[in-house]
Amino acid sequence: MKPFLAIAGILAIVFLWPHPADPLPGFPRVFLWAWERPEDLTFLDPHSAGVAFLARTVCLRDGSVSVRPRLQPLRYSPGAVLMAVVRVEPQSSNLPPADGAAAAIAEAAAITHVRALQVDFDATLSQRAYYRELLGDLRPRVPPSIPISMTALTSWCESDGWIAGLPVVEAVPMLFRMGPGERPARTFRPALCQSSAGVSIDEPLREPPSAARLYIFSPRPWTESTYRAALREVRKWH
Amino acid sequence: MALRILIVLLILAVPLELPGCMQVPEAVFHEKTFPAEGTFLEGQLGILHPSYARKHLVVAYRYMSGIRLNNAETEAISAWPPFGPDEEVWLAARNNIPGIAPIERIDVYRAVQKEGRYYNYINCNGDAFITAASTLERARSKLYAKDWIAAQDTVFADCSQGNAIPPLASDPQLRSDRAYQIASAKFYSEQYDEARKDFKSIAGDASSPWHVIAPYLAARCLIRAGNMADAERELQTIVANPAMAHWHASANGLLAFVRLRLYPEHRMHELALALVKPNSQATIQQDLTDYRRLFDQDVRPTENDDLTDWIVNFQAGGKGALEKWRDTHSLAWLVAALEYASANGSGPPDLMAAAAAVKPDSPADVTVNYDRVRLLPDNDARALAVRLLDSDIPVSARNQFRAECLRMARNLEEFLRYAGRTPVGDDGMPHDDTIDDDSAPVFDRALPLALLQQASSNPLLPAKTREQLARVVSIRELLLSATPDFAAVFHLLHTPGDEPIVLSGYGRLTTDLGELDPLKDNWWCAGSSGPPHWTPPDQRPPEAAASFLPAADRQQAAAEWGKLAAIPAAPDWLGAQALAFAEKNPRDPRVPEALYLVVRASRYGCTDEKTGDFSKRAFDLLHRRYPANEWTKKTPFWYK
Repeated sequence: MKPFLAIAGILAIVFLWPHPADPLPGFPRVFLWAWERPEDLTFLDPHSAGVAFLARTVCLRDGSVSVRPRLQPLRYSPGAVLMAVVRVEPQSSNLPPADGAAAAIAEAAAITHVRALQVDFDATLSQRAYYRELLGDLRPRVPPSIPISMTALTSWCESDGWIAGLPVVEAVPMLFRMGPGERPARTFRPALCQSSAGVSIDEPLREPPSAARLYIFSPRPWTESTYRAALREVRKWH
Repeated sequence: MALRILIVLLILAVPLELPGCMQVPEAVFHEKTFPAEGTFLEGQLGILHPSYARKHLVVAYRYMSGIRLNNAETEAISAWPPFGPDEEVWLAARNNIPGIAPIERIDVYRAVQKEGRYYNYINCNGDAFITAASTLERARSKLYAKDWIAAQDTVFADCSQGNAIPPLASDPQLRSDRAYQIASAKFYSEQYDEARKDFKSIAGDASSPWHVIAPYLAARCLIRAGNMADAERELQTIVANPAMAHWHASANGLLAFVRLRLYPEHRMHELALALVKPNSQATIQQDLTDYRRLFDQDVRPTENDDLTDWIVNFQAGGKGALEKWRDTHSLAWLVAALEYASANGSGPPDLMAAAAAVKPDSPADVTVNYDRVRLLPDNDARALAVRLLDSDIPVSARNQFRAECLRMARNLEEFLRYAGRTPVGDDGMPHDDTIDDDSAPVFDRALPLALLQQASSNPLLPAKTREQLARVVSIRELLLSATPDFAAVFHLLHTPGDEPIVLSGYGRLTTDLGELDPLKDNWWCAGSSGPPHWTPPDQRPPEAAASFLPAADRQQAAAEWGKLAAIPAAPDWLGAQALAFAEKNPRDPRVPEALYLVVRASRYGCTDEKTGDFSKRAFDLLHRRYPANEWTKKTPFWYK
C-alpha cells in the first residue's frame, strides 16, 4: 500500500504542480530548423518532431520590401507539423513602413499545411519600436488559428524587458552562436522565453535548458543519424 | 528587499546596444578555402592548399599546366553569374504608358508544394521582361496597346500562381502577339504540353514575328516537363539550322543544361577537357559552374582526365601522387606529391631534387618552396624561408612562411622577429600588423614578466603588439603585487579594455580602453583564462613552443602564470580591492565612485558565483555610507 501511496503522491505533484501553459498545445516538443539548403526530412516521425523551415527571407532595404522565397527543396513526411520561419533582414537604416513588411511575412502563413509562423530577426535598440509595430501589424494579418513564434537573443530574455507584451505566443532564446564570454542561462524570467529554447547540434551546452520545447539547428543538412543523435541528447535533458 | 531589487533589475535593466547581425571580426592571415589575394587569377598562386575550393584548383591547374587565363576568361570567372529577374525594366516601361494603372511588383517565384515537397523556383526569367519591354515599345503607339498590356499582365501574373490565359484577340493586328502571349501564359502556368503545341503552331506561321524563337521555346517546354531526351533532339535541330543562328548561343546553353542531366558522367569529362582549353571566355563561367556541380554530386567522368584526377588526388592529400608525378613529371603532380610528402614528414630524393629545380618564375614556386620548408632540416628550411621572405610573394604566403620561421625559432629574438603577421581579406578592418595564435599564448604563459617587458619595447614586434604587451605587463604587476596600489586599481576600474591577457588578431572589439565592450570582453575572467575560445586547439602548448628559453625563465613564467591563474574574475578582484580600501579610507573622495564602478564591473565584466556578493557589498556600503552622493544616485541596482 505504501509504495502505491508514494507513486500516487509523486504523480499528483507532477500533474498538479503549476506549469506554464504550453503556448503551442498539440505541437511536437522538438522542432528541427530546416534552413535554406536541400533538406530531406522524410525520416521524421511527425509525432516526434516538427519542421520549422525557412520559408522566405524578407529584406528591408532603402524603404522597400523584397522577398526571397525558399529556393532549396524541403521534403517532409505526410502529416508533418510545419512551422514557416521568416527571416527578416534589414539591409539599410532606411526601413520601409512596417505594414508592408508584415504583409510579406504573413504570406508565409498561407503555405499549405503550415500550422505556425516563426519570425526570426535581430533588433538593435533603435529598431525595437519598429519590430514592435511590425509584429503588432502581423498578428491580425495571420489567421487566428496560426500561432506566431519569434526567435530571441538571450539578452532579450535575460536582463531586458523589451519583448514583454509582444503579440507572439513564445520567444525562443537562441542558446548558440553567442558572443565570447556569454553563457546561456538555463532558465529565463520573461514568460515568453520560458517554454522554448533554440540549440545547435554543434555547440554542446554546459547546462541543459529547462524549456519544454526545443528547436534544434544543424549547420549541415539533417540526416537520420544526426537527428537520432540530437534526440538522444535531448532525452538526457528531459 | 534584495530579491525585489534583483527582480526589478532583471526586468528593467537595458544592456548596451548590440548591432543587429553583428559578426565579431576575426583577423585572418591566410584563407583556407580560397586565395586571399586577387592576383591568384593572374597566376600568382601563392601557397596552394588542398582545402581550396575546386574553382580555384581548376585555375591553379591551368597555370601549372602552362594554360594562362586571358583577361576575358579572368573577367568571366570573377563575375557573379547573372541573377535576379529584370522585372523592373518591364514595370518601368509599362507603368510609363498613360492611362495604365501602375503595378508595383511582379512576383517571379512560383512555389512547388506537393507530395511532401516545398520549394520555389524562378519561373519568369529576365529575358521575358526584356522581351516584353521591347515588344511594348513596338506596340505602344498602336490602338491595341492597352489590350496587349492587359494580356501581358495576365501572362506575368502566372509567374507566381494561377493559370489564367489571355482571351483570343479580336483585333487582327494583335493575333500573332496574342498567340505568343497565350502560349507564354500556358508555359508560366505549368501547362507545358499545351504551351508546346502553341509554340509549335507559332513556329509554323511564317507571318508571325515569333516564328523564329518559337522552336526554341517549344524545346524549353520539354525541359520544364522533364523530357530531356526529346529536348536534346529539338535543340540539336535548332543548333544545326543556319536560319536560327540568332538562337544558337541560347540553344547551346540549354543543350549543355540538358546534357548535364542526361549524361552527367560524359558531360563531366567534356567539361574537364573544355576547362583547360585556352580562350574559353565564352563558356568558362558556366562550364566551371556545371563541373563543380557534378563534382559536388559525386559524379565521376566516364573517361579519366588529368584535371579531375589531380583535383581528386590533391584534395585527398596527394596519396599516390608521387607515382603519377614520376610518370608525368608535371608541375601539378609535383605539387600534389609534395603535399603528401610534407604532411608525412619525408620526401624521396628525386622529388626533393625536382622541387629544388623549380624556377622562381614558376606559378608553383611559392607552394613548392613552402613544402620544402616543411620537409628540409631546420637549418636549410630556415635559410630557404628567409630567402622567400625577402622575395616578392603574396602577403598570405608571407604570413605562412613567418609561421614556419616562428616554429623553428632558436631564441627570443627570432621568436619576436617572426611573430608579427599582416591580416588579409576584405573584412573592413584596418590591417595593421599584429600577432597570431601561434605566438599569443607563448607571450601569455611562457614568457616571464621581465621578458615581456623587454619585448614590449622591441621594434621587431608590430607597434600594436608592443602597446598591448606594455599594458599587460603593467596590469600583471598590479595583480601580482602583495599590496596593489589603489590609484592603479581606481584607474583599472575606469578602463575595462585593460586586460592581463595577450590577445591575438584584432584583439578586443572595442578599441577604446575606457569603453565597455558590448560582448562583455571587459577586464578578465576567473583563472586568467580569458574568453573561452582563446586557446587555439591546434597549436603546441605554449611551454613547448618556448623551449628556446633558458630553464630559469621558463620556471619563472610558470610561477607567475600559476599566481595569475589563481586570481578571481575581474569584478571580484576589483571589488575586493575597492572594498578593502573603502573600509580603511572612508573619507577618501574616490571611494563612492570606486564603489559605483565595482557595481558597474559586476554588470559588464566576466562574472562568477561570488560576483553578486561583491556587487551587493559595494552597493550596500555606497547607499549606507554615502546616501546623498552623486555616485550613489547612479547606482540604483546591484547585479548578480
